[in-house]
Parts: sequence; C-alpha cells; structure tokens
Amino acid sequence: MARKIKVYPEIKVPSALGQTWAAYRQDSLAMLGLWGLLFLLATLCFGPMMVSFDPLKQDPNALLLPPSWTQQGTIEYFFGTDDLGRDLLSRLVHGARLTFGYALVATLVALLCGCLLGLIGGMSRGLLASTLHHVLDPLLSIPSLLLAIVLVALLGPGLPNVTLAITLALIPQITRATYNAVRQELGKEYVTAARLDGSPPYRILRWAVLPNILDTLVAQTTRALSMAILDISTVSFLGIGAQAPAPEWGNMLAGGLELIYVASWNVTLPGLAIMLSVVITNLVGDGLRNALQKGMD
Amino acid sequence: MLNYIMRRLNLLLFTLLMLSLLAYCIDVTLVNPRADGLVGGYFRFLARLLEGDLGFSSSSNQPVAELIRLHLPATVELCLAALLLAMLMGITLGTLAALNQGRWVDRIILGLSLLGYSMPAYWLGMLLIMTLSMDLGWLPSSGQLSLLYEVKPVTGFTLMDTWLSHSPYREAAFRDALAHLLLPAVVLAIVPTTEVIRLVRGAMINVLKQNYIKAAFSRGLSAPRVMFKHGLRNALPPIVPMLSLQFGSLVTAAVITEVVFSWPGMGRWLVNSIQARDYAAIEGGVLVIACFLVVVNLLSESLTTLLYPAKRKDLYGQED
Repeated sequence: MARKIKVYPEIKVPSALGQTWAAYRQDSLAMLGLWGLLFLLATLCFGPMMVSFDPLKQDPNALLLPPSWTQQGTIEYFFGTDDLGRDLLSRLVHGARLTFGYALVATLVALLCGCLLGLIGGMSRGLLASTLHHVLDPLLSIPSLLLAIVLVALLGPGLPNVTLAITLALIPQITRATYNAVRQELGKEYVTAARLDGSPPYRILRWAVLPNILDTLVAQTTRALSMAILDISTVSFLGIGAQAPAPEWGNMLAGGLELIYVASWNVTLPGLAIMLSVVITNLVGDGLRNALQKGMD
Repeated sequence: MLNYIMRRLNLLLFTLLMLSLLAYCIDVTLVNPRADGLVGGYFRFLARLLEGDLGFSSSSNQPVAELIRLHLPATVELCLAALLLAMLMGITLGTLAALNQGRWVDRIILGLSLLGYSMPAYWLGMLLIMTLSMDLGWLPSSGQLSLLYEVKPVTGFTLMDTWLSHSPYREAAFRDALAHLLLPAVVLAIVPTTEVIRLVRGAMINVLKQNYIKAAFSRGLSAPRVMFKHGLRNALPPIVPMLSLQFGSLVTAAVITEVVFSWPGMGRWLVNSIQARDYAAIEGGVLVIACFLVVVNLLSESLTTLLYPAKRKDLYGQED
C-alpha cells in the first residue's frame, strides 16, 4: 500500500509503445480482432492436437451428416461431414495450418525481402535507387493470381509452389510502399537537421526513418496477409494449388461445389472460415495503424 | 510534358520487354524447347509475337490468337459491366458515408465494405447461385445466353449481338442476356465497389472541410447542388487514376467469377488450359492479359495527367 502514496506530483509520460497500446485498447473492434487473431494462432499451433478425428479419415456410416445444430446432426460430428464421411470440424482446424499458416509464411518472407529492398533503394541515391525502384515494376503490373498461374505452370501444382508464387507477387508491392515511405520521411526537415548534425545514414535510418514508417509497414503487412489468404484459397479452389485430399479451405470449397444442393454446409463453413480470418486480419491491421498514428502524434 | 510522356513510354517498353522475357521462359521450358542458341531463339520468338502468331493450342489444335479473339469479348463485357456497377454503387455509398461521417449510416457502409473486401468472390458467387438461382429461381446461374435463342456472334459482346440481331425475339433475347450478365457482374463488382467507397469517402470528407463548400452554402445554394457542383466535382478527379489500379484486381477476380458462373471468357479458358497442361494457351493468355493491363494503366495515367492540371503540378515539383 505504501507504494501508492505519491509524495511528489510527478506526471509519468508513457513510452511510445505504451501510448500505442493504450490507444489500441480504446478501440473495441480492434480488440475483438486481436482476440480473434490469438484464437486463430492458437488453432494453428494446438488445434490439430485437440480435434477428435483425423482430417482424412473416412467414416462410411456418417456420409453427409448435417451440422449438430440441425435435427439430423450429431454432437460427435459438430460441423457435420462431407460426402466421404470426413469430419468437417477436424478438416477446418487442420486447414487453418494450410491456408492461414502458409499465408503467414508468404507474408513474412515477402515482408523481409520487400522491406530490405525498399529500405536499400530508399536510402541510396542514383542508379541503385532507380534500379531497385523500377526493376520490379513489370511484376507490379501482373496481378498476383496471374503470376501464381504462370509459376504453377512452370513448377507444377502444389501448395509450396503457390506460396512461393504469392510471395514473389507480394514483394514488389511492399518494396514500392517502403520505398515511397522512406523517401517521404527523408524529405522532412528534421532529417535534414539530423544529417547536418553529422548523423551517419544508419543512425538516420534507425532513429528517424524506421519509427516513422512503422504505420506504412503495418498497413502493408496486414494487406499482404489478407491478400495471401485469399490468393492461396483461390488458387486451391481453381484446382492448381493444394491437391485433392488436403483440407485446405479453398480446396474444401471446390469439393463442396458439387454438393451445394444436398449439403450446403460443405460450402458455407469453409467460406466463412476464410472470410473470418481475413476480417480478423483487417480489423487488427486497421486498429494497429490508427493506434500507431495516435501514438506518433 | 513531353519529358513525362517519354518517360512513361520508356517504362512501357521496359515492362513489355520483361513480360516477353517471362513468356519466353515458359516458351523455352515447356512449349517448344530449342536446341539452337537462347539469344537467337529469343529474337525469333519476338518476331513471331510481333506477327501475332502465338502458336497452336495443344488441346484444341486451333491457333491461340484465334481462341483469344473468341474469348476476350466476353471477359471485357463482364469487366466493363462490373466496373460500371462498382462506380455507381461506390460513388453513391461513398458520398452517403462521407455526408454522415461517424454516424450509423457511415458505420454500416464501412462494415459492409469490410465484409465485401474480406469475402472470397467465388464463395459469394456460390451463395448467390444457391439462393437467387436455385431456391428462388430469379436469375440464371450460368452461361451468357439461354440456348433457346440463336444469335449470330458479330461483335462477340452478347448484349450488342442480341440487340443487333434481326430475329423476332430480339428484345426477349436481350433481356435474357442482361439477366445472365447481372449475377456475375454483381459478384465481380463487390471488391472494386469497396475500394471506390473507401476512396470517395476519404476524398469527400476532405473536400467537405474546404472553405469553398462553406462559401457555397452561405450563398444559399441547396444541399444537392453544393454536393454535385462543388463536392463531387472536386472529389472525383484525383481518385480516377487510383481506380485504374483496380483494373488488375478486377481482371484477376474475373478469372474466378467466370469459373463459378461458367462464363465463356478468357479466365475460364485459361483455367481449363492449365488443367489440360496446354502451355501454348497459358503463355498466350497470360501475355495478352498482362499487356492489356499495362496499356490500360499507362493510358489512364497519361490521360489524368493531361486532363487534370493539379496532378501535373506535382510532376513539375518532382526531384528525380
């Protein structure tokens, strides 16, 4: 109790990180997104250990069982089963690893490469900057899905190849955004002042540029992640990504397409899973960007 | 200005060069492997492309260029319809949201646009087919035109073809084509609409803060007049170039929409070609779509620079 007595009227100024977190907590939608993201990550790590069925196990006695909240459903197969008697809940949980997990990998790798290229291009001058800025322009003009199609045609179908293709498609956008943000920051007067004081480029990058382009980076990351989730599931839906028995969400949708009139839950539930994960990503991204902007002001 | 146009053309040339190299990669590895030199092969490949020869499709044995000519109009028709829908819905909803900023109308529109942006287009398409076409029977679920109508393709655009045809069922056929177009166009329009809403809302909020809006109101002009004459007039031009960036994602989404709705366009043809391992067709299709996008981007950027002086101003101020 003694600690709470304030002898001197001190005002404690919270750190930049603390201010960001305080601003983030004010936003209830963003907090909802954060809990959703934690839930998704938990599903990704521990979900497959917790579900009761193998995602590929076929139960001939339980074909096309509706979800448990309908009249014919059983609690054993909570989300129902598909036409081969595979448990939908187990497949969805295992699919989180394939769809969300691979999207996460693609985004992180793309972020690393794109940021690096953008930072080098943005900090340097002359030929190197121009090359780094423009060499990726042609890739920028091809939509990511088309690029994925080309790479799959070259390398053969499969989830790793699709992930590679989507990573390659994401890199130019992140590079471009980082480059522009760095250039914008470098043009400001306090950076000039720091340079006149004799700060080396590394110091300017670390203390002036990086903290101030953080909101751009966050916005790019969440945008890239939502694009990656949608692209991976789309490519698999088209039949050139994850192959048939794999419980990838887009793949499950494609399988459910023929059953749409007899077993609509095979279409609605995987689609819902994709949509929710993208919504969660966007909510967290929007909240984080707003909070960072508030924290900077 | 001339300098600017030269730079854009330079970039275009470079981009096309890279695209042709990419296509050449596919060509060499998959379509016709060459024993003779790679460099010489590339120039022969370029010469062939410039003549409009894209090789032969291995699944149908027809020239790829001919197949593309057959499938392209359907895709263009679908994309244009979706773009029109997206503009109409997006500008209306975006303005509404900006006028009610912070109130529940704004929140509902923003929430809906977040949902629309997060939804896989093909899933929405399937749900709409399930409810509107199958359960309610309001709209047809696949294809461009009911098989009952025999319409000779003249332009390739079904709407124009049915309108131009001389059959006694001309109007019924036109209405049928419109009904077939509606569902895929709505699905395709969802993502661009959310983007238009976001852009228009932001631009309108900025414009509404300006003094000339206050001045217009103080002169006693009516609210709709201020909105149309002073608000939208100033808010729309800067966002037109950003809309053209949407074209790329529109074409991508069209590929999927076409597959779901069995729309006989480039996208469905391309996906079928991939499944049939018809590499000449993939190469030609991707090349044509990419070139199309590059040219559209270039045209829209140059046009806005020409027509919209404020954009030109920061061109003069650029350092590099």
